[in-house]
Amino acid sequence: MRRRRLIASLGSLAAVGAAGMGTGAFTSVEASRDVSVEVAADDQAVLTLEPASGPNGEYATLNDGTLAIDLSSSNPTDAGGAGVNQTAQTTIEGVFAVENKGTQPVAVELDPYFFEDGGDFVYVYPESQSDAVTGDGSGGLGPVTLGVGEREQYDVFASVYLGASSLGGTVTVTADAVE
Amino acid sequence: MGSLAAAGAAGIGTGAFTSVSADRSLSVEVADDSTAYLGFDTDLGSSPDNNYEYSEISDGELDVHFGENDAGGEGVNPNSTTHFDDVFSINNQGTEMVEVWFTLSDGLDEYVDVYPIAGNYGKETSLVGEENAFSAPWATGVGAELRIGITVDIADADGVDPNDVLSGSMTVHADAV
Repeated sequence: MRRRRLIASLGSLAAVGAAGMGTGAFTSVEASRDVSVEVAADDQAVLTLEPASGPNGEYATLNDGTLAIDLSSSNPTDAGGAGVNQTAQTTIEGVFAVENKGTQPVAVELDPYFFEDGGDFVYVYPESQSDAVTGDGSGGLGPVTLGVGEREQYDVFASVYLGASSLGGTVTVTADAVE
Repeated sequence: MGSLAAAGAAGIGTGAFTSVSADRSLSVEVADDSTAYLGFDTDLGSSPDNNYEYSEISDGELDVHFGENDAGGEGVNPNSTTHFDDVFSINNQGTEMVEVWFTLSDGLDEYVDVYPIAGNYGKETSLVGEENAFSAPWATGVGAELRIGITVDIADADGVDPNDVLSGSMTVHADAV
């Protein structure tokens, strides 16, 4: 008898509690909380983008923490070269590198990886898939899976026979976590 | 503050991310043969036997033409072999040492040879064909210049007569070594 009553009163308490929550209506709450997001330079970020460490890293720049691939007179080589030759194919291996400094494997993709102007074109592609661009491979280019701490170098291939004076544009680098 | 910032940086460095997307620029300029990564020079200055008169950079591209010269010569002799030292040079304006070799278009390869003028190497050394690729730090290293000579040998050519124009194209290969 006593036990039952106790249960009943507990139940009613609980109901009151729930009702109390339900009626705690508010139109607006404003509460400031600290959110801190540090923006790192490309060469220090979780998805690290940086000029390759070899000699062809000269063709990539890090300005204000942002990577750019710059084969032009605004980024001449130490030897004074200021662009690719016309009526020529130029392959430059190991221009920049992407490294996964996060905590899970990611699939890295460049989009677009190909720019065309009047039949002249330039590719930017992962070294591990160079066969698809400069070799006999026909598999096309796909994402590169980078485990934690893994790194991939990227090459540039330009083919200029039809009078283009410049090639390129904006490349979106995407890294998505994979299972 | 200092220690807080350090902790924050460490937190970011090891932080998991699900997706990152970043726009970066790719810019490729097409340069004149004189300023491109594989540079060509047609003015060899004080080279001992300077034949740069026979080459020029025209519309941004090297063009070699053994035609009329300033002294009134109008071409090579029939039934002759002519060596032209120092027609042009190849300047490595890239970032790595290269080896240099040539291929010649059909027809041209029957009477033209290309040779280096570098140290002990001269007209006896062919640069035609990948098996003849030439490299030396002082000639094909970064910032170095490789002087090029051309042999025209029509001594045994059949059907070549005065006033004929023999033309074709040569391809210069420069591969990092």
